[in-house]
Amino acid sequence: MADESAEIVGSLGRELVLRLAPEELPLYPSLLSQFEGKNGGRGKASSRDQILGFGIGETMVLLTPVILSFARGFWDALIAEAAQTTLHGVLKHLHVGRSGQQDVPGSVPLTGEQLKLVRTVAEREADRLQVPTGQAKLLADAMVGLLAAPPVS
Amino acid sequence: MTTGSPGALPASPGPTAPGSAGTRRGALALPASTSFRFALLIAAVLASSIMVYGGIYSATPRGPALQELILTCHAHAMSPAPHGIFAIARADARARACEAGAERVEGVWVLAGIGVLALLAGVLYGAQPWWYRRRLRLSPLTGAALAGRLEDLRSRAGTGPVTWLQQPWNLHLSAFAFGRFRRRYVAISGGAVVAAVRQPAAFDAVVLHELAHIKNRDIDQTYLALAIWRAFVVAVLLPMAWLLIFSRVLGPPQHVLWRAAALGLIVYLLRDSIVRSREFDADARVREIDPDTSLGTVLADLPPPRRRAWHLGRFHPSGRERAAALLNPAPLYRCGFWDGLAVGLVAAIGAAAAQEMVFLLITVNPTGSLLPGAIFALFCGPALAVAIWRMRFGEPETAAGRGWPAGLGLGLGLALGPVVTLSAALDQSVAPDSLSLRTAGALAMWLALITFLFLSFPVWIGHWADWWQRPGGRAGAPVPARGGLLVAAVGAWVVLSAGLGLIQRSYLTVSNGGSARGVANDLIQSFMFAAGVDQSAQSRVVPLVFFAVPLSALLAGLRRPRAGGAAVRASWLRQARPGALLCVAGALTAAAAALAVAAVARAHTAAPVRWDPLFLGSLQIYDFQVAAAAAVVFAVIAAAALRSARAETTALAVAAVAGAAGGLVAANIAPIGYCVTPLSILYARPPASLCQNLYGGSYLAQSVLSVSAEAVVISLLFVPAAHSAGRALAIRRRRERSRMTPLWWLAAGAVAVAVIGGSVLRAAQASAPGTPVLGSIGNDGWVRGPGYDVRLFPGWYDTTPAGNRGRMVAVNAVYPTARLDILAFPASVAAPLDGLLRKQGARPVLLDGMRGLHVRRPGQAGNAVQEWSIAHGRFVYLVQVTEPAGYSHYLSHSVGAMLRSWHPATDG
Repeated sequence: MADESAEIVGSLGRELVLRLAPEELPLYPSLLSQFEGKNGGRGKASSRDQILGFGIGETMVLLTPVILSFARGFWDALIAEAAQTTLHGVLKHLHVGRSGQQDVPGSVPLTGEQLKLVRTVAEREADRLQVPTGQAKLLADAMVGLLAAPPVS
Repeated sequence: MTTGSPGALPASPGPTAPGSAGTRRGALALPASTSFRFALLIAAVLASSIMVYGGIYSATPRGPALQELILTCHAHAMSPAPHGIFAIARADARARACEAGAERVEGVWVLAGIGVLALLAGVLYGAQPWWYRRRLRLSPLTGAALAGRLEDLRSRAGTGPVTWLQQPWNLHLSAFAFGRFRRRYVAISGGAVVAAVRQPAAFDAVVLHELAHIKNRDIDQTYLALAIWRAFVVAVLLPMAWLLIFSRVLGPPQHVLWRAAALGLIVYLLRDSIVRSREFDADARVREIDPDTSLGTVLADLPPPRRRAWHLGRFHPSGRERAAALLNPAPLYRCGFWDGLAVGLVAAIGAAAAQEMVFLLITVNPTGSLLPGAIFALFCGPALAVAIWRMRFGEPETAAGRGWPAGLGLGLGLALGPVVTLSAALDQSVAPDSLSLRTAGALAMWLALITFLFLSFPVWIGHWADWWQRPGGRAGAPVPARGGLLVAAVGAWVVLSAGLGLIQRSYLTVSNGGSARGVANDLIQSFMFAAGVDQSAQSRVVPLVFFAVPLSALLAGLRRPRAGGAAVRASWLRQARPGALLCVAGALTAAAAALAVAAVARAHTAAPVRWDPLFLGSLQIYDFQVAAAAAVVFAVIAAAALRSARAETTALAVAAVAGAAGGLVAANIAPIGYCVTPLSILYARPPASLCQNLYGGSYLAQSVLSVSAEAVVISLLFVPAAHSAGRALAIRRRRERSRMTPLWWLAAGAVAVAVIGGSVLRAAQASAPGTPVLGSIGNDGWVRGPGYDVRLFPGWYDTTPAGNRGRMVAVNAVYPTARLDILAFPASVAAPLDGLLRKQGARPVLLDGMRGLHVRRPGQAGNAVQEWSIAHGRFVYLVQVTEPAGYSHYLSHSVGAMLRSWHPATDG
């Protein structure tokens, strides 16, 4: 169950990154591994190691870590809500999305009520992560859009 | 340096700026400045390692055993105590042969230590890519679009294959290149991956900068430098620390500690300068690859470095410095005091270390101090040439004679090098270890003189660079000339080798506790000897180098097709005319100065003193030096007066021609005096028969060559400064064109002759009192005995006791045992005397038309004796010549001349 949960969070996160910050996709596998604690660490780096290095002082803001935290929180919250129907629907949706099969029996679109629940949980999780209101709505919209749209590979 | 607002930095410099694209491409066509620093790093590590491993060997049980053996060998070789220089040399050779085997073991030990160091550095270098990937957790790059974009950039940069990696959790926009031979990696940070979309221009600039490092071949030198430093710490500095703690073999700790720190600091700073200087070149390469790059903006936005004061210890120059360098590429070409100091220090320390190695490994070293100097000059001479070559390439065309700061650093470094070596810790009476007025004065004198000797050398290399890189003169645009750089590198190697040899020989006076005056005397004499008297190839090659490099540039220029041949030839002739006139004026001045010496010496020195060969020898050496000095004066005048781009070389040519003319006259001053009475030093009335032929052959050739070479070598020290001063004065007076006329030159020459010729008054007076006058020279050499006259040859003195003219005795000033005796007897003893001589084997001869007998027989104490008996008038004469054995051929000419002059007195 834990593996499946992590897999779902990874899938959700990847879909969200694809929609919200596609430029971060090349980093996604590494960041996901790090997020899941599979990677041993970030590595030690200092400017004295990177002798022929060149970089600007500005730190780039990545959405992926936020998205992954959001996806994890969302999923956990959804389970906590015990909304089996919604959970079942999301699971089915994501399963179809990963397998790339659109005509699998049982792959029905989520209902409006289910989507409403998804939005509520998503907004609450974004709020818990202290994401600014505008961007929290964006995340919630993306999650709803992701689950409402026909599955894509 | 341009330091405007970062935001105001334009994307590219204007077309006429010094850093225009053409110039920048040219700079990249020359070897990078890091290459010469890398050579210095290798040399510094080698030199330090030799010293430390030698010290370690001394600390092992074999060290004291070797010392014992050396003492024993010397005691055996010097027993019984040898007399004479050759005997001492033979004894020293025996001692060297005795200890050679054990010393060679120490040499092999040192070489093995260096081998371990090299192996360690190689392992660290080879393992470095693996270590970086592991330590920084670098992963292969994912994302086809990004990989395609990076490959596109690589293709634009024109580099070989690159393995792309990423460092996802590094959120700064950064990248770095690393790798080893034929294996290049570029790691992209997570921030850079994102910036590829969000800030594409900055991303391109950062990645192109890393690719520029690969294109500039920075990877190997940089990471090798790091590996060498780390190996140096482990394999040299740590053993050195052990040595300092547990052993006193290198000398008192306070003497060794600061030297060890200095050696470590030199290596450390060289390592950092290698890394730092790479950045400017990489930025320049990015500009070349992508002229519209936003690198300038990116650099201007970089935060300032935290450690402002300790900029020598930083790996990277500040962003502001780099942004400014994109507009004005002066930092790419910079060569200043610190560069010169590094070259000088490493060269001198290395030469001292190599001297130790050569001593250990080679029993008989026929090259003396030349070989050790040549080994490290091979690193440092070309390094200096590359640095100066680049500097002159980047300087504006109006600059002349730049390189003085580098010269100051070079001279100081070369002077300080022998003091910093570890072996100098054992010298007990040298500052700063042993501080007193005497030692401090000696060190100050040493520093001042060595600095002065090498001060102008970088300026000369800059002048060579101008010959090659600005074929159209100073006004023309510079062109990179790698062939010329090679020629100059060889030239710098040769000159620095000779210079290091001089330093090695002369420092002995300092290390032996000499005074400031002793140091000055020894160094100046060594320099003058090497410049003029020494006939070795080494002393002749150095002045030739200063002509060979410009000449090679001239020949290379002639091969290039150029438009307007007639006009160019006319321009050449116009430019060459002042130089040719100066050559003529200088030659006349030097010759006149040599003649003036003779005239003044004749007028102001007593005849018996002038008759002495030792005085004559001293006077001739002085005459040679006067001729050389006159030539130098004219070279300085030429350097200050000429405004052509080739003024310095022309000035050297003036020195050479004037010196040759002066040498020609000075060498023939005696024959000239036979023909021109006022110039005759020897005779009041020279014999007409001697006014026949001037000297020629090898004597004349050597004399001319010596004076000419001496004039050129001394001019090397003054000409660049004179030229710079002349230009500065001309600019100050706002008259770029020369107003010097031939008349002015001749007037200057006349003043030079007056001053230089006048100095002989003091020289003659100074040398005459020290000259022993053995006797009389009669009347201009003529001495009258009973019934005869004989003319003494110069160098022979009449020592006949007063009132005993019956026996005339003449002795030679150089060979005191050589004698001419003329005994007069009454004619009545002719028969018994002839009988006595016939018993000894005498045979009939004719002497001045008179019949007599001649016999040759051995004399006392190994002397040879010849006797003639000649009867004439009321007397019979016994003429007896005693010559020291083995020296007859030196005396035969003078003895023959005296015997030929012997004749019966006309008045009876």
